[in-house]
Amino acid sequence: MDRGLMIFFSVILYGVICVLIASRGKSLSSTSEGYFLGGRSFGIIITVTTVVMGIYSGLTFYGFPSTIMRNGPYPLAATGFGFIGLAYPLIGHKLWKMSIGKGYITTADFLSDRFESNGYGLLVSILQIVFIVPYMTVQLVAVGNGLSYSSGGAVGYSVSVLIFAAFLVAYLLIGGAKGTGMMDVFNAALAIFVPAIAIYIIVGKNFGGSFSVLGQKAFENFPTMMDSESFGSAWKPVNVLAQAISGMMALFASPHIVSKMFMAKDTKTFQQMTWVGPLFYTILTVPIVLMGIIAVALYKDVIPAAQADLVVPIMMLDHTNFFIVVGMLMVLFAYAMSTANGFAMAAATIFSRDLVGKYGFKNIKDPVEKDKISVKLGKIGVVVLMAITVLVSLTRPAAIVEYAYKFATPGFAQILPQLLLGMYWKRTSKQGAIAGTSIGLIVLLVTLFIVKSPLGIHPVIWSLGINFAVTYVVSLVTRPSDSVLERFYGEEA
Amino acid sequence: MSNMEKKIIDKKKIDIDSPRERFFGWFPKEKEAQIMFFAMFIYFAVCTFTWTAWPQKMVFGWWPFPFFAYCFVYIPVLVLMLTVYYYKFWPELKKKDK
Repeated sequence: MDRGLMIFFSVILYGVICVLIASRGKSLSSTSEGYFLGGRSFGIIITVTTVVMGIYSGLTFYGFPSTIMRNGPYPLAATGFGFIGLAYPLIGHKLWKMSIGKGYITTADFLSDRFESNGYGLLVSILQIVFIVPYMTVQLVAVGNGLSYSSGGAVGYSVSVLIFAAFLVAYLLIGGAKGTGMMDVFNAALAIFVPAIAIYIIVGKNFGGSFSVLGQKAFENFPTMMDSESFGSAWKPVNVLAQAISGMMALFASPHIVSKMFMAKDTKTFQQMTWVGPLFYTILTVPIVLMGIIAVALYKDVIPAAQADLVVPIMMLDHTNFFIVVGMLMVLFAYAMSTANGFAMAAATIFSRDLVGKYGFKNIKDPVEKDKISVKLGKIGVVVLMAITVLVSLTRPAAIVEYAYKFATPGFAQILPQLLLGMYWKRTSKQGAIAGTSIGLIVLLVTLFIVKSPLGIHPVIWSLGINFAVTYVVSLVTRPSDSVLERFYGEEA
Repeated sequence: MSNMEKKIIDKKKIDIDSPRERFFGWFPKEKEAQIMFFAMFIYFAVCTFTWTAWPQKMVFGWWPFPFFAYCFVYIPVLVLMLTVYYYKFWPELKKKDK
């Protein structure tokens, strides 16, 4: 059989396996807590895999090795993600406890209740939805490029995107949050083992099994690869700090990660995340960095710049066998799906609960009926979101990647001061929250696109710093209502 | 005492106007949490300024020093700090899950 067709059928097989695994969550999918939150039943294994796989996306899996090959190993933005261990108990546990007591399913639920403002909740929901679309698109573009290249064009870009979207919709509709969580465990196993085997084969075949020889060859091809000066301001402490904060803040406030904090089953899971989270994240980082070093040794100045982002499939096609090529494609799917399913579930929840749910069917009083409609709306939200994302992906917008990473990540973070201060500072007021988020977004837009990075400092530092300061100062001169104080801090008094 | 009266008395106890609560109400009250608060800031600052100062070389000839430091210095230290605090001193440990 033709190699391209075999790859096509292998991917179909992988998709079917994913749907079958996800279908194990079907029994929970009839209620909104079951469908959106997996019945709040995630222990440490599902939690850590679904969160960490959600952090690393399909673009990361292809993009990091390519970045190392082009620029060396310095300018990587994800280092702040080690703070996943802090995010879970610091923000996650508080949200989780409140979500049980007060019935929250989304961060907008908490923020609109804490600040007694449906308008602010609506602003947060709309912001999150707006930022989710480019992130989802990026996953589809990465998969479309990867599958079409790996299959030698036998599976075209558009077909690849449609296959990915179809499987994503199928298992999200069937399995809900629990199903996607279980599937992420399977995907995490693929992401650990397949790249490790691929690296072992490539190093054995090209460098006599010696990593030192690999390093020497990399230095021969790219003598300045460890020269941090060549990266200019990117490798200065203030910008390393900015990158780490950007990564950390996105993790603390990104809807596809924060929503998973509601799904944990008990306090112990949050405790375990303090050490399992950072370690698992690090384990996934190692093969990605190594693939970057291999890319330098084998392909630096060999492949055209336009194909740099495809260096991983190129490497696999040139130096491994059919099974590894297919396996690595599955890993690409795994990373892309894990990120996309988190965003899709978050968007479905926001669409169902915060947008249509709050404003669309006020007349229905029966809670059971309301709950059923909420699940249906969530499923409709998944389909609508995927349709929009597929349409955008098919145009292959080059600007979307830049937009996603430049604007969406720090954009998500503009609710972080309100989340943190809203939880830990009684004084935080509605006026402070609205002013902080609004001005933070304006400052972000200005420092990203008009007065770019003033004083050489990253826009995320400017926008978040000003956001925190405005929220604090405005809250000092205003005050929250007695009702908020009583409901949120009554027990502490 | 009626529930309403009790609620009014409870409400009066919620202080947001004293200088401590007004300006530093976000700062943790427990001693261990305060230590952890400063420890995280110091850790973050140390990471920021030392990460750019590691030798610009490969460890063992093939593993970039910044990632070596990330995997074997920064993350283990972070994990150690978080584990000690959240397993030994976290106030939530004294509360039960609802």
